[in-house]
Amino acid sequence: EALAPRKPSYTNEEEVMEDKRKEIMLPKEWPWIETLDVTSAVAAEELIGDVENDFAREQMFYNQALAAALQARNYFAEHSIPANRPHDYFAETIKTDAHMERVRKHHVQQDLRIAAVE
Amino acid sequence: RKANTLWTTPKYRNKQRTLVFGTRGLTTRFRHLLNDLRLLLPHSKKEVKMDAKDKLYIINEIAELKACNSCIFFEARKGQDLYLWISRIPHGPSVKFHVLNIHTLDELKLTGNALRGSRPVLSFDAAFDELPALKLLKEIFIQVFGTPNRHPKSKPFVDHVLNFAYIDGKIWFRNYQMFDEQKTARDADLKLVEIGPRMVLNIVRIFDGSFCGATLYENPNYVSPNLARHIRRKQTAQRQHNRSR
Repeated sequence: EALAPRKPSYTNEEEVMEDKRKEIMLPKEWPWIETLDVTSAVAAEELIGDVENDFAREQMFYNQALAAALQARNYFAEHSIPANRPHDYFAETIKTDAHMERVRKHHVQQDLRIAAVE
Repeated sequence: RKANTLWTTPKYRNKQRTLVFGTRGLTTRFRHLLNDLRLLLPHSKKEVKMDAKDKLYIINEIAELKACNSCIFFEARKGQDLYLWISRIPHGPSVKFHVLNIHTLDELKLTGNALRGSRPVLSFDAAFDELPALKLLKEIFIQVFGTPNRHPKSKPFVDHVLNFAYIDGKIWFRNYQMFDEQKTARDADLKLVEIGPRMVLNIVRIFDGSFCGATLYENPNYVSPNLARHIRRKQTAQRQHNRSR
């Protein structure tokens, strides 16, 4: 990639982007419940050592998402908002039951294969 | 049950509608990703495929006819490269991404699942509060990927997390289920299980308008896939040439 010709300069209109952000922003006075957004304390770039290491990278994403999920859960607990799905609540899911069955079979087969090698 | 849910909070007011569609010539994988996004966004609207020859700014008219205030648009090139546009209708800004490392919901190794229409927690890493371009993107993502509270097609539960992390100059997208693992009858530990889809978004440009206008940001590390292929071919040719001497 070092062969790629580099342009002398790249546009980065920081002030215009900030103005644009303020222009489209949702009203500040809205409660957090409208958006459910969480921002981590430390930049991911600082936490990751080797980007090519799939395992370390996925683990970092997981940790970031888990921290956000816990923060959301704490908020719901504090404001006594029941946001968990009740156990007796059944409704359509993103993946169908047939698909989940295929996933389960795939994993059983994987386990068998590993067991066979061992 | 209705008296005691997320929906006891103020009225439905965050009215977001996102048009999700693409050009003709999307490969199977791209089409699956498109449908996955539709599944994840209960506030999304559909539109038929657009001809590749049409100019992109006509999307603004299509979106306005559908009363949408934002749009996710898939643009396929050469049957192998996917560009994803996210735009605020009608006055912008809009962003063009090059999409890499796609894994769709169909993949068997991702075992998570979530309710259709339940709301996600949106998780950003700290870079999204630091760099001006990412701050703008965070605001756009909140509006486009978040499910509005009390949206008629949504469910009053929060059971998954959409995770955005900025590493290696790209935005990595992951979707996890929030899963309570029962430790004892009363205690449960919160775990995450990945649902999918996965994708990596490489920013190409941010534009002032919607599918038009002045460039506000250019990614200095972006190499177009055409150029990347050209360089790779050249390097291979060079190696072959050296070997034959």
